[in-house]
Amino acid sequence: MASAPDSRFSVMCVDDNAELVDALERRLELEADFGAFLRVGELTDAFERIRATQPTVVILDIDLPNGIDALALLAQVASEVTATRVIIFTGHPTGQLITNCMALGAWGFVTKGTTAERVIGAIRAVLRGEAVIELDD
Amino acid sequence: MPLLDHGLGHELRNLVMPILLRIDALTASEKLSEKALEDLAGIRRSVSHIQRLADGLRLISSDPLALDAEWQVTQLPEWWADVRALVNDTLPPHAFVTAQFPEHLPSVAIPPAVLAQGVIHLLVDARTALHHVLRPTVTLRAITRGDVLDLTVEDNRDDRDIAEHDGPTADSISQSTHSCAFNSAQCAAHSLLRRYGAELLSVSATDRRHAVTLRIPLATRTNSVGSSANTLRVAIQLADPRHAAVARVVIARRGLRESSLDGAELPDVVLCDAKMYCDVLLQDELLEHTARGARLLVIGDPHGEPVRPQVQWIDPRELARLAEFL
Repeated sequence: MASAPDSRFSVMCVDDNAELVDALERRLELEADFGAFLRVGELTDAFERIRATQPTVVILDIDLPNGIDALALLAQVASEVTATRVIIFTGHPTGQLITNCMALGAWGFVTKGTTAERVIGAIRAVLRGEAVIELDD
Repeated sequence: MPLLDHGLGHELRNLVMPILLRIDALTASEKLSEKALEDLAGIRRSVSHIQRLADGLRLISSDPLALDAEWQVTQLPEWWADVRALVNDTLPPHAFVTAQFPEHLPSVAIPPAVLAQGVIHLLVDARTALHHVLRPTVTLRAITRGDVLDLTVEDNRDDRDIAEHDGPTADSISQSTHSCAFNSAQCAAHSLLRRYGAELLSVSATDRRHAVTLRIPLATRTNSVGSSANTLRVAIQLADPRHAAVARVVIARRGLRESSLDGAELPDVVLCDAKMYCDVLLQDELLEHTARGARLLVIGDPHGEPVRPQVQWIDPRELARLAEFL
């Protein structure tokens, strides 16, 4: 995995919910080894931005607006930016979607109904090299 | 309405997560007074309640025909936490609602959304019936009986009219078209639940007591001993952490137990990948487990491996359906 020399990790959140993106950055700043929060700007440029910055972890909303195909983006990142690990974020999990995402190269799958602690826990697990699936109870 | 509920539930979820993340960030600040921390804790509780409401809205608005049944088993205490507020809103405001669930209830093999919609159907019926009752009470009780769980929804309506129709011994609504005609809400609930192997078992109606029992299959599979105390044990030997993560979720949601190959309790199922199975030395070890009665599930392509009755191959793309093979 790509990481800075001081082992700090970086996160990019690809989600059209600006409130969530901002809040996740504030929460991650509490983590001692958090390095940088990377912004996407235009969602249509997400892949180019990921390739250019190679964040340690990408949180990817599966339901992106304007016809952006999040699964295609996942597959592209998994095959071309292998240093980055993707965690899928969704409000509508199904068994088939989870399996498809993991087969396409996701390292994590987190539902939006889970707790903030479990979102951070999922990032931590992926940083440790574990695959993680966090569903609602 | 379902679309509105679903959209509202989705928006609430999008709203809640940023608030919870910000509360985390604020709580960690060293500059906050004890009073401010108490206020934050109160806000967290309120937001968590909104999150539960959002989860409940999602449950009652999901399409029961489009659900991913194999992945969606229900754990009653968590399910109740999600639907309780909506149940209260369904009933008259002065109704007293309780749930009596014993500890360590096994999961039931029905999606939470279907169970929520089935129970809400019954409670909409209760709402009307309880309207003139001075102190309306509704109680949900659960008890396991072998491989099924009986969930009884009981209220204190004055049901003498129904009793005159059916009598207290009317024991099976599925066999009683008269009962179905009598109560369309119960028919709707029955029709919904039947798709998942559950049924509306009985309607008992006596003076000031009206009870409907839903009989639901347990999600937990048992081994050959057949007792619920002998939950199926699955040993996961998958090199790909993503496959292992999917397998662990399926096993946990089905109420099965993960075990190891060399533990005190032998596994009933060994789940391994093709690379491990095709290793000559490891294959012998794996087949030893089948000789002791375990089934071997191999994730991958058989590539001309000899067919063995105790060995079943699963395409990695079919991993979502793993529960069907266990």
